[in-house]
Amino acid sequence: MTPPMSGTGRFVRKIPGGKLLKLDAEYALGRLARVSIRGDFFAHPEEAFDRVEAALQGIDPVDFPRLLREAVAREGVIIYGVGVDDIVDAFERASDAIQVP
Amino acid sequence: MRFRFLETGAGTAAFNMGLDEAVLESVAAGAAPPTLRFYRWEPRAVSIGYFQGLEEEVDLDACARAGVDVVRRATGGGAVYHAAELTYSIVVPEDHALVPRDVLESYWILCRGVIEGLGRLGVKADFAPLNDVITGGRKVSGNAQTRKRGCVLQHGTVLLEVDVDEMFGLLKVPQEKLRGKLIEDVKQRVTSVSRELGRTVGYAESLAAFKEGFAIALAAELAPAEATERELARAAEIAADKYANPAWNRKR
Repeated sequence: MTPPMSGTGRFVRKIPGGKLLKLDAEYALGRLARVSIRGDFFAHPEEAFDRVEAALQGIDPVDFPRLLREAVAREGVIIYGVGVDDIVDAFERASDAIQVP
Repeated sequence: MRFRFLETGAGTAAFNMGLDEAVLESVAAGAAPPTLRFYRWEPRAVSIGYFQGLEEEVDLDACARAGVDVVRRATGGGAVYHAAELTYSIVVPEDHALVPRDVLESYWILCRGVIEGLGRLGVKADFAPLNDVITGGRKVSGNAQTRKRGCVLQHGTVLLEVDVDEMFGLLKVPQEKLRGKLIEDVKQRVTSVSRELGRTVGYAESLAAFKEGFAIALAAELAPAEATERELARAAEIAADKYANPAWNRKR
């Protein structure tokens, strides 16, 4: 994946046998300015998932998979209906969906 | 085993979610025993899951026009239209013998109350992981769980009647051109107690069946009670501060 400089990409996928995952990735100056992970999945504790998401704001996008996994482990979040690998995949596809001028 | 049993009747969306949380607080504090609550929604309401985006899931203008409440739940899962249904919530300490540590297994254990209740009405149903109860391959009940303050809160709905067209008039769909197909698809996948039995089953009739069903599934004596003054006051506070607060409802 070559991270785009700017723009917002979205990827939506129903995980087979699981839940719906929607991810928005917003880039600014080559960094991940904002990421939003939504859907009808479950995560316990819910507020810890919010902190995982917050830890991904403003990062270098190449670090997304590592920082996501580290934050999930650090916060002790268990996600049901969507896997961490699904979120990484959705992030990469959302990033790829950004139209580069 | 003894459970407190509350039948709190109809409430607004914010109050209903506030009272579930207030009951969790009092069970967590040891001020109340494990509690089963049944309730309804007045006005009708759409609730969305903790992780859903409000504006992308709900047609807020349509809800406002129809006088339908909108609320974000403390639990995950999907959007639910609360109309002709029975809603329950159950609050149990996490270290209670009834509740396995494994979340998936605990869904199954607690959903047995729904399955037993449906059985008493004459609807044979099964648990469908992660969080549904189905009959004849169609969803008749959705359930959602959170764990806070050392307690499990699971709430869920049993569809007594379902109007998929009305429901989709209040929800947004990912691709407008596929709305018709999506509605037809949901009609195939969702059913209600009344549809299964070929007659109208109302809240009052279902109440007795599900009370009995949960008592059997939980192997519990259900002791009828009222929510305490403290719980009602906290429910009103939580409703105002959280569930009626746009900051909460629009957080995603």
